[in-house]
Amino acid sequence: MSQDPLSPVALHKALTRIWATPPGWGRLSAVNHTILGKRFMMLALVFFTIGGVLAMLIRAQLATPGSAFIGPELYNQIFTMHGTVMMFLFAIPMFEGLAIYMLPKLLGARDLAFPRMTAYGFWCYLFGGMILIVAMLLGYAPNAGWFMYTPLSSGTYTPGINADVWLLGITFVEISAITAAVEIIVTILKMRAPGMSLTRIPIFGWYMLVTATMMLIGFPPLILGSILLEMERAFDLPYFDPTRGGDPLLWQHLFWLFGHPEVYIIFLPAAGVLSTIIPTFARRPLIAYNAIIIAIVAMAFLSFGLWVHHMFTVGIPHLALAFFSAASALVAIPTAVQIFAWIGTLASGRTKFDVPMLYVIGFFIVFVCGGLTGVMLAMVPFNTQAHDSYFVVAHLHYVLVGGFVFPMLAALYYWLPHFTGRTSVYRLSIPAFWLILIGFNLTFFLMHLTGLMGMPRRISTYPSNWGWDWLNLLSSVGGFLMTMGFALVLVDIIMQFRFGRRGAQNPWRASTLEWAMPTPPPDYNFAALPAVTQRADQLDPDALARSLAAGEGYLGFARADRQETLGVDMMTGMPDQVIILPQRSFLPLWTALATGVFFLGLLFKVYWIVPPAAVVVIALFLLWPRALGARRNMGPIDIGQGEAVPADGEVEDNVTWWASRAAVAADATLYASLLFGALYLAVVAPGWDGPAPATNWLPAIGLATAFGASVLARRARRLNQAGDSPYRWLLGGAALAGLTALACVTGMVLLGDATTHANLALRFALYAYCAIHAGIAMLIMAHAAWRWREGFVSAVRATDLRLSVLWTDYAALALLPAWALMVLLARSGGAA
Amino acid sequence: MSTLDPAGPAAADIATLWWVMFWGALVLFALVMALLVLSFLRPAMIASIRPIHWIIGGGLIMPVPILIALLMAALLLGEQLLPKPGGVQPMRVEAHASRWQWQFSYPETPGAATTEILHLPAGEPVDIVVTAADVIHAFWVPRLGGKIDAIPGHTNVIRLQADEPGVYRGICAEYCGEGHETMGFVVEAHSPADYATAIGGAQ
Amino acid sequence: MIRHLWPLLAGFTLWALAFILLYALQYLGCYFGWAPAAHRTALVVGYVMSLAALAGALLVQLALLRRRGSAATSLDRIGIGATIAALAATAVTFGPTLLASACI
Ligand code: HEM
Ligand SMILES: [Cu+2]
Ligand SMILES: [Cu+2]
Repeated sequence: MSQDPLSPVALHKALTRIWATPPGWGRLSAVNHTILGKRFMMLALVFFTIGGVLAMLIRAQLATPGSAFIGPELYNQIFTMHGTVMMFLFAIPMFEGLAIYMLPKLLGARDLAFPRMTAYGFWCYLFGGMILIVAMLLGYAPNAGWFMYTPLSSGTYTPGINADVWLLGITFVEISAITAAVEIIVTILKMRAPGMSLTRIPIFGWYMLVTATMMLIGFPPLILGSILLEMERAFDLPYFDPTRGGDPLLWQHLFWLFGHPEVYIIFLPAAGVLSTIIPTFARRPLIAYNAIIIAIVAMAFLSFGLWVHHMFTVGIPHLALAFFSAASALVAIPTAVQIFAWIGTLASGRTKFDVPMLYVIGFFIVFVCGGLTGVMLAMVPFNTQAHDSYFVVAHLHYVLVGGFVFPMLAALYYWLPHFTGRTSVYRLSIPAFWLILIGFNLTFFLMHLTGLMGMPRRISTYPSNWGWDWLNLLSSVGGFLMTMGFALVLVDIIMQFRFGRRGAQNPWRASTLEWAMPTPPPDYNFAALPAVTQRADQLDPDALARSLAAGEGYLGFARADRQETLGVDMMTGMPDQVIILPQRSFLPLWTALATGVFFLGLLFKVYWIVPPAAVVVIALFLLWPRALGARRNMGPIDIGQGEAVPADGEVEDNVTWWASRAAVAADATLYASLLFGALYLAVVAPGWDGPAPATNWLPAIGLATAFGASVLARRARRLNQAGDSPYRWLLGGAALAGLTALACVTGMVLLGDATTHANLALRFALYAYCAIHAGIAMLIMAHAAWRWREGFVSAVRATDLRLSVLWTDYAALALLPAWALMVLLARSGGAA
Repeated sequence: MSTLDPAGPAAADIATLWWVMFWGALVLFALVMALLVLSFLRPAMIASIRPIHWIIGGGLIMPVPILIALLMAALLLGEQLLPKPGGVQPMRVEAHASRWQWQFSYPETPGAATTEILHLPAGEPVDIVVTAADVIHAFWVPRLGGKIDAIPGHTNVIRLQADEPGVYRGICAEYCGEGHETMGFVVEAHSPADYATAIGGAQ
Repeated sequence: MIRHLWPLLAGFTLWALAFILLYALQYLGCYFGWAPAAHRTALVVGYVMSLAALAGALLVQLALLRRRGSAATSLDRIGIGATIAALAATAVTFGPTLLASACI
């Protein structure tokens, strides 16, 4: 294919025409990662403001003893919403937004792997967050604390809609976390500049790869817990009710199995930011790149082995506590490795100072304190005193504000010139920093002492003779100083947008790829993709920017109105496919709106609307692939530099395949949590004596038909490879998968009244899980048959058939443990 | 109310642990800050430290021994605080939580009534058996020792001792809804001679 | 393709499996009321087996590194560091099997 080289300006125009998002209503169709990354971050800042206002209400109430400003009923809603908003609606979406904006630019790609999924995730975040905020404004905010302990959050003790708002709103928002995680993993592994091998990616890429994997495994337990609790609240299935074979502690295990990794999920991206900013200001590469990779992998694993440190006082045997205590103390080591890597980088460089560095210093001061109190809290005897006291409130804010808010402020000042193309005005930046730092320490340092003096958290008022008065008053004063600081930061940002001078393209003289483009960045990021021959945090963005803008590099042309970027081999970074990305579309918005109807139906108990809403959501999702895929084999396509690689649809190792496997991993984690829950209740919960109803043969029938479907899927794939028609086999497989679903649904019906005991409720959940997955397998096979008929499938374009095999296998494998557990449950006794 | 003003062996040991950790943390914090300041102001002094030495020195040699020593100490202390069977068994008192009050009963003293004040004999360990009727609460008397959760469907035991006769304050430490902050209670420790009259046992 | 990442993940995956094994042993021993001495022996055997598994993984990785010679990638070396870290973490995390009370 011969491309006439265009002038840089003409190339810019041609690419912009392909990649741009139209103005006006067209903005709602945006799928571009630059736009969506900014939207995520802006919305997260709005929620940060809301959470901050709630924090000020808390501090106003607690400033004096016996205060009658807010009563307990309202106070409980306020602190619950403060924690919930800060964790779920600010921290997580904030770094997701940063990663969405930054990753393709750092890795040398033109967008993320699934642009429309990014958009769908954004809408889920917006709508889910709105459910929570609107409920709060109407006075129906959740009020059981951000970790929603049962039985307080179950129907008996929180009869209103409040807890449902939390469970459904947060689950809705979590959709965006899962989609972002899949997308981030696939993008980092598959979409990089040619030559960027896995050990050459900028360190932020490693941090986000590990974080996203943790999200993929960490969020499903919470999603499962929320589903079970919502089923208990809505349909009285007693998973957490100790009088009917449930156990409130199951909720705590599921919640903290998510909740502890969560705080590392929040910290690691921030650490990635620090590892990116510090070398720029130290004017030397980061030291100990390899040791840092080991440290973050170690942190990722360890963080899944210490959730019980939130449960040291629930009465678990000392040996088990000791495991979790040791693991909790051990995470300090990878943290220390990173801290010293940063200090070592600063020490051996020629450090210059600027506003981002102020916040880096602030990070060191605050976070090291938080880490030290964290080690203290990991010690069981001390924990029994400090747990649920203000000492913990102090600790958690030291880690979250020190380990997340300060690095994010550093990131804000560091990358603001990238967002706006302007330089800072700075008059306000420095006083703002001091207000925040001093205000923060005044507020929270004293809380350590308040806690040690016996003040429990989550109390709306306290008597004045217990020695807590002056500490609380000073904390409140500090809180207001800090808020003034944040307000100044906001004004500062607005000033930069309004009055900042158009600045240099790479103001900090950084050496990472995101600066090798004009700022604000064009819709397509890079006019050509660079070839990378060394670690990608030691590049020369200025020289690269010039040559890339001139189209010198890979894919340095606009072709056939297609949004093209490169896919590479995961390890070596050698190009192995041209990824053709979908263009702007309203489908994500419609799908998210339909998903919103689904959740609102559940929330308001308008159950008749739920199944049609689910059908509409599925139908809309089935429309997504229509815009993609080719009806003929294209063969290798020219990518410039004299190389040619096939299109993504024609290779096995493509992003869809990676994403599907990531989705299966998340799904399997959710299922593993369910299996864990079933075993846990059967073994631990009180009230499991007496006979239980026997199990029947339905699981076995389901298993047989599901394995049949999976055999047919394999057969279909082989026929297709040989160039024969897989059509009938696919339809047959879909029918068998449908039978499986039917068997499971029959099983659910035959269970009888599952509200009587957790034994039956668990079987109900197992059947439901298997029915849903058989249904998914059926849809995917039928869809593959349709795609084959339409000519999207050929011997090389066989992704649809491989997906059929993947999901039928999964549906069959899911039935195996389900059957085993049903047999076990039938023997465990307990159903009255 | 303060954990730093202990009135029993459990609280005293934990307070000692706290002070050790506090001073240790202070030293570590000062060390990290000193290195940070040096890296800005006098980088020449530490610029010759090689990357591997930063990682091995700061990331391993410094924290590992400290953490292991601390873990061992905490483990042994934790063992010591457990309500272990064997030996002379302490007296058992029951604490039952419901929204939003505590009720204490004395099953080992026939005829003793249920009380809203927790009466303890001073100078000897007592096993407190903690249960809950509705939601989760937590039993906490900061001056005597750590807390233990009261969970519906579960029975937990904590061993505490008040060294001297006197009045101590307890509080519910697990958020339990609207009346959470009102769920305090009073602990009265009596000399062994007065104890029986205090709980009104039929002796 | 994920198999290329195994050097990095093997050590800590074993650590996680050891965690599950020992936590389950602790729990089941109490649930079925094993004699304290038998219970302790089972736990300590589990501990030693976990250490052995990690040491084995480390030896395998070292042997692979030597065999690959100059073809070894830096990921192989990073992987060895990760396995050493996991071995140390196993020794510390599950050390309490030696003395902590298993059922109270
Ligand atoms: C703007 C400054 C902030 C102030 C003054 C503040 C203040 C407080 C206070 C006083 C509490 C205790 C409420 C109670 O126990 O009754 C609290 C709880 C909490 N805060 Fe903050 N906070 C701030 C920022 C943050 C940030 C940035 C985060 C997270 C990223 C955060 C996360 C939490 C969480 C998770 C809780 C626990 C809520 C619960 O107990 O359910 N806070 N905050
Ligand atoms: Cu934690
Ligand atoms: Cu209570």
